[in-house]
Amino acid sequence: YNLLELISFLSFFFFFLLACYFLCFRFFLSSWWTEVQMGPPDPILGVTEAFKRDTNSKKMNLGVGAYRDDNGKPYVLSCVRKAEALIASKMLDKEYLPIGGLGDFNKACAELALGPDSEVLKSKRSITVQTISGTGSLRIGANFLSRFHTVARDVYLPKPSWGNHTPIFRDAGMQLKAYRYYDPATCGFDFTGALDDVSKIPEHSVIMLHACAHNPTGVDPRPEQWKELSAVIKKRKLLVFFDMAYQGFASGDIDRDAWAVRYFLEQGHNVLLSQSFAKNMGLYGERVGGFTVVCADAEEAKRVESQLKILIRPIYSNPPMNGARIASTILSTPELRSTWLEEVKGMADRIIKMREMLVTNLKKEGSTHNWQHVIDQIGMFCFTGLKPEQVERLTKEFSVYMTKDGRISVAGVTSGNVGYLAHAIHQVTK
Amino acid sequence: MKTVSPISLKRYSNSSQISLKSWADQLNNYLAVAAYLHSILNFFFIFLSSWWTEVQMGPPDPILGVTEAFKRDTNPKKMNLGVGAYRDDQGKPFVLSCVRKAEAQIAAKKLDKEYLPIGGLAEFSKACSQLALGPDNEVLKSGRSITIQTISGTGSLRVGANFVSRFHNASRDVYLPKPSWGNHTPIFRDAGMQLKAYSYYDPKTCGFDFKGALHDISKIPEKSVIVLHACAHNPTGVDPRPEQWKEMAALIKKRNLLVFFDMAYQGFASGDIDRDAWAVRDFIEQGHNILLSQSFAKNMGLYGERVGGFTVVCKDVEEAKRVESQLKILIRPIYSNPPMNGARIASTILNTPELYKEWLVEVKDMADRIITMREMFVSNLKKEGSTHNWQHVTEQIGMFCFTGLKPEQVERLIKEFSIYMTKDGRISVAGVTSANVGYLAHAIHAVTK
Repeated sequence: YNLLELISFLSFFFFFLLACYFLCFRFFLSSWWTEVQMGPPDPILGVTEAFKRDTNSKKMNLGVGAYRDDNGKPYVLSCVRKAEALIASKMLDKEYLPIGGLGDFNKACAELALGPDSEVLKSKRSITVQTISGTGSLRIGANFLSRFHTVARDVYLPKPSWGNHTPIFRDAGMQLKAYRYYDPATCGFDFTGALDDVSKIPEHSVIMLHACAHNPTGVDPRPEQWKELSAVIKKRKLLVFFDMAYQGFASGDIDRDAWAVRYFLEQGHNVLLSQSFAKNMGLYGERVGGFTVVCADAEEAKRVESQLKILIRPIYSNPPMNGARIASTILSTPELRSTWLEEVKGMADRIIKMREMLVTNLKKEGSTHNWQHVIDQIGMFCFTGLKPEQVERLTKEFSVYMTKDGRISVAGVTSGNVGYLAHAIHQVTK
Repeated sequence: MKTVSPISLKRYSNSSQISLKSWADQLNNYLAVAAYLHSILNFFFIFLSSWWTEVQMGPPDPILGVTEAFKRDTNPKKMNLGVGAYRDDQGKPFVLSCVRKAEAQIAAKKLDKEYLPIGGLAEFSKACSQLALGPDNEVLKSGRSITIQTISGTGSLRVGANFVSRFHNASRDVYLPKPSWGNHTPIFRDAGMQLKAYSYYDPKTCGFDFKGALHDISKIPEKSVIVLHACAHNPTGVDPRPEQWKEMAALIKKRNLLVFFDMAYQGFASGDIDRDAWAVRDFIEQGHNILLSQSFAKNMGLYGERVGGFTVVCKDVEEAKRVESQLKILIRPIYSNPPMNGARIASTILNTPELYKEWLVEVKDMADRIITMREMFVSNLKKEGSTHNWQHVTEQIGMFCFTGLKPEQVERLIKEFSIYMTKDGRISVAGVTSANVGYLAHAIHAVTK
């Protein structure tokens, strides 16, 4: 009797130990990521999340950095649809692109930015690679600088700049610094502040310039101001990195929007340049962009190209084909290209019109503030000058959503809701 | 450069004319000299603005180099066995019919092109993880994993490498099989990890060095990362057998290693998606909380569309959410959000029953053609009179085959027969067709007899 008890006790105990062992072992084994903290949510996405949850029928999402038509709907350009049909009919294969992307796309991309008669292109002293839209382009550039621009670790961003610039350069191993740019007193360009800061930047540092339609402020230097900046930057021997995400989308004119980039090249700056086709061709999710390095000569361009490929290969091997085929088709098919130029002007014009209507409506509401900056600023975004508390009220009382810095995406404004927006803004600012 | 000689001024008889013209000409002169000096200065400045003087010409990509040389060759019998992309029996790229159908369906919907979320297309990520883990997997039911869409296999591995670099502080070491896919090394290295290796391929048998692998793995320091090729090992084509996988799983658990599976060929290896995912699923069942990279480049022929997934199997849902938030923070400053087109195609195929069935048939056909080519290759070698043991060619699996050829023999194949492969003797069986397999066997016999 005792033996039986003992045996059953021992066997239970044995199985109990076994169970503990497996539980503990599994628990111990499973926790590779115990120390991983919950990261803060993306500030801009947070706006959209909150917007989606809101049930107010008058709600407005002015956080989104994507163009909307006058019905508030996403807009796929007709030249894009036509290009897609053309491409589909060709029954092309899906073989890997080269590491540097679609050759025809790269060529057309560079020509769009630099102009077809560019001396740089004629002498073949630049290299352009297809990238994963603007972000991918900036990150390749940042990684390239980190690896090869060993004379300086500092990248100077305008104050403020696009939020993602900072982690892009930081994760690539660069140090972030800033130069004055936006003047909250005027809601315009702090030209003297910028010149002052730029003149003090240590030689060989990298300076980031928004080519047009500065994000988030919408404040761009005037041509004469660009000229002075170019001279100071040349004097300080800085490495210029242009971010051009809105060519054509800012003024409606692709050459006008690329003026600063082309001027700097003429002045002898050998720039780095990031381009995006997310906005100006509405190719957002297709991820189409380009990265260009302007070099001393064709031989240097070849060396730089080889190193860009070595850098890119262990990030994503080669870029996605679909968007590049669309963009390339549009840029190199004359009828599609002229349709595109019209459509991009159409988008830019609607934005400009909304700016004007917003100001008109604000005046009609009886606002006595100076809203001139809304019209002076350019591109998709507008730095309203609203304070965080006012933004808070707009969100809570009127279901008008924007980022805390008072930035609105004018693309989210329509003739249907501009009156409501003006009313709401007047209420929180009177 | 325009020069005006003072002598020409004397041609003008009228003194006032001389003075006006001479001023004009002198001005012209000065301007010309100024322009000349300016262009010299500009040239000097350009020389000064040589930011990239120290940038060396990098070595060309070894595999691309093969294709470049192949393109230049004018021999009509030439064969490109370097390319890691499937070819049909005519040697042409193959776009799957289920892919064309999916594309037509997608085009008809006239969808917009709005940004995907940072983690990609949700329906794709869900179907992607179900494909790998099996739809009834406990991990998926409990929600304790996170899968995000990535830029094909490379993008997935790099996101994983960056994640490990940032959050796996217990170790900097990543152990790759010897040999491994060439790109694994720079992926982990550029992400800040240290590369180590464990024995894998046995050149004597052209097979799996099981003893060597176990031996090396038993010595790997705890908490190191170990990369395992889920199926169709690249470049050797040599896979462990199930019993061998089981022993490895047990040993790896004992060593407390973080497992990172690279599955680039699910379905493409044996023709059976569940069979090819067996090792991944078994490791999970054994309690390994793995990292997993998937690619749809080969098994769906979506190469240039760049479709892939990265999965982290966590302890529980809460941990999965934390990990997801950090993956997004990591990805945002690399490319913001992934490309939509390929993911829509893959998602349509995986989520539409008729297309899914059709895909399974097509992927099996691709795998079968590869297997047939292996068999024909060996029987042709025997017909040629080769006395070597070519058993490994039919035992190896997937797109690649480690022939066992030496560099000098590879050299001869290129120069004398216009047959291109990488120097390690790896051939892409996908480049073999019923029309050229005889020539290939003949050439290989010629350099090995």
